[in-house]
Amino acid sequence: MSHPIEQRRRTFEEEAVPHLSALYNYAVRMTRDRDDAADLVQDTFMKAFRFFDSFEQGTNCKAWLFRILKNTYINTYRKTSKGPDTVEYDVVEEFYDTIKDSSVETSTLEQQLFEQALDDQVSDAIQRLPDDFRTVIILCDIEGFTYEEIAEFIDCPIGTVRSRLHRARKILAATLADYARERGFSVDGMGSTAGGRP
Amino acid sequence: MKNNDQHLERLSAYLDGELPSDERAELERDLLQDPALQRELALARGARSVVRGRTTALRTQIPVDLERSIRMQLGHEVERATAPAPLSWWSVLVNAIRRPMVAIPTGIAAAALLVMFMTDRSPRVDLYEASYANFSKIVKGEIALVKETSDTTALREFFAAEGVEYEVFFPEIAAELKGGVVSDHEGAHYAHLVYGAGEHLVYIFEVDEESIERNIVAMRSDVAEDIEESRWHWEERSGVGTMFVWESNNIVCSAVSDLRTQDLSALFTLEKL
Repeated sequence: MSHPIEQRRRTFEEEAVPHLSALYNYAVRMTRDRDDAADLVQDTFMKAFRFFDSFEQGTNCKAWLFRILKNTYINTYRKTSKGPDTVEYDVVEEFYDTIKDSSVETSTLEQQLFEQALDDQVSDAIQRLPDDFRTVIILCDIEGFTYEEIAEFIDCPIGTVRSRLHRARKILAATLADYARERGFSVDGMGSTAGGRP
Repeated sequence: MKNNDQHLERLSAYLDGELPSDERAELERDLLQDPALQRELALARGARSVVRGRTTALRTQIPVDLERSIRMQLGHEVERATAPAPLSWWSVLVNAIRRPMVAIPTGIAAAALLVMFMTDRSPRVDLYEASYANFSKIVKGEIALVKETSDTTALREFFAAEGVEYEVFFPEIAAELKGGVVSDHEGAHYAHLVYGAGEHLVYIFEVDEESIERNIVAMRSDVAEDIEESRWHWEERSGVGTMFVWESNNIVCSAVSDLRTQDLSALFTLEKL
């Protein structure tokens, strides 16, 4: 008969290890450093294994792991200074209020901004978001969490999730508009993040 | 029509299927009549799609050895948990001294060892160095507990019987009292306590203030200053652990442990020192 901890390990590996890639990617986005992200993920997995008895089987293991990673990140890895290439939060708020309604016809807008955006530009645009906005975009659009799961993760009401998501997508669109202009496309009335860059 | 901001913030929830049916119906009615709102929806839809349609490209490939490293660490955790528990250090020590071939009575042997470590050919015992040295000897099994008990009353009686003239202080500490041993120097007798905190050890050497005033036991000047000003001295020594010195009821207590400072301080009820 196997030792209980060996059984726990097998169950943990079956449930948790499949989420390794998602956790690592989120860790990279938050720490902005692949080595730190790897360390963060390892710490997260060890903590999760030690506390695996407290995980309720059948519930969302991915969400549980993300919460452990978030707390580990906050307690251990979060730097106090922002990276030089993020859009400042208060500038974002001010910018958001001044984005004009688009005067470009919708299908042209979608083609110019979104379909022709390069993968690196989309990645960079996400990375330029402040932490709170970046988190909701990653959790919702990349990792597929529901609003309720996101609200629990960030410890905010669902209304805050809605608000942040909408603003984050708006800023993403404005950032991609900048890239489109740099590539020579004429994107009128879309606003720009230029004023918001530190 | 709803406040514009409220509508705008509903657009993402609408796209994500997270809008309650009544709000969805209201938003759809307004969308039919508001071109500006339609364009906002297109923007939100586009930003959402551009991310969702590229999740593979947006993901960073995990390092090749990360999964293997995690599985190995899990294996180590299992090994640690399933390995037979080693004999506690004090059991090894006590058992060794109780072996029949050890002819010297236990108490004298232990006290002699302790005295040897403390005496440095000078009249004074250096509290600082003696604490570290004794701790090291205990860890290595070269000093054994003469009185093995967690009963503070029994220990007080033992210390008194062995010639300790001051009232031994038992701190409030979240660790298991394992016992004590007595040393003597220049005719004065001193109490030494040992606590176990899981796999870790906390050793406390207690000296009465009179011994310090009479220069039988010396304190390093910075330690003495800390004690005089704040009553506590903390330091970490590489390869050993943490030293914590404080004074309570005219007894100077020097604790050494293989725990880090934050872990050792967490054991003590500091406000009761």
